[in-house]
Amino acid sequence: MAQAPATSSNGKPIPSQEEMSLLAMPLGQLQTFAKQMDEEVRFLIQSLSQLHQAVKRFEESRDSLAQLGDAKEGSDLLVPLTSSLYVPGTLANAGKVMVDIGADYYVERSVKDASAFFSRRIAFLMDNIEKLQKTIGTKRANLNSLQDIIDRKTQYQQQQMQQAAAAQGKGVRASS
Amino acid sequence: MSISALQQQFESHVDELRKLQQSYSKLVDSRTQFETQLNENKLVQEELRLVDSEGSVYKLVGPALVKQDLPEAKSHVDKRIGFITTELDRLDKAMKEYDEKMNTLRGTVMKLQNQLMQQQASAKA
Repeated sequence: MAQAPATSSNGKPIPSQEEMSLLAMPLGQLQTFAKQMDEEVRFLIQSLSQLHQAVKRFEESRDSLAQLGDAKEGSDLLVPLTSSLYVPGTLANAGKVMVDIGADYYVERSVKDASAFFSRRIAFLMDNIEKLQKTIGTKRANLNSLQDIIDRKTQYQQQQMQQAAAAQGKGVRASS
Repeated sequence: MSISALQQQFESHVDELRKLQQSYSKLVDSRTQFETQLNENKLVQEELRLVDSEGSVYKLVGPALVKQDLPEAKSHVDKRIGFITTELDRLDKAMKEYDEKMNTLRGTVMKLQNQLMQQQASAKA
């Protein structure tokens, strides 16, 4: 089985060779294990949606830059003080923007460089999204096969109990 | 050993194990935080490398943007990465120690549980 790179600290993908030893494990333990895996998958899906949101934010910034790129120095604009209050202003220093590059650092860049920065960040995030999707796929498959084992075991135990009950019923008295 | 003494011993071990697990999960949390910071700082390091020598770098201090010297900003980020890396190493070591401690304790708890069950069974019989 192709293993996705481990991204979480406790991510333990189950190789298929271990399926046999999984079959030997007690049912309760398997269920706990399945629950853990389920939680992990949920967490990863949440991270995935956060990554998508981040991509959207960077895309918005890049789109704004594309609009700004046409604007000339001295052109009129309205500066938002709050989301519902604007004051008139003129555009100064049209070619330069301040970019938040993370960890409280900001860099003054040309519109073109800033746009390239956002494209880089988006590519970086897309790369991570792809990796994460693969990891989620693998983990889901593992979870499914584990669930399968649990189902089979439960069925087997029920059968055994029924057989035992039937055998007892024959020996002593008829049981419902 | 009497059942009640055994019971007591069992419970105190379980309690200890639970405490260890709590501290362990705190370690995991701070490890995740440091890891996020490390990734962010690495991205910043990469970006600063792309800034040419006349480019202006600012750092957000409270609500104000304060102008930074580019080489100084670079060395700050490098230092920060170094610090985070050492912290991560320290956390990894601590987590490994906890892991070992918890494993031993888990074994003891299981053994005590078995003993307890046996004694209870023989007391009933």
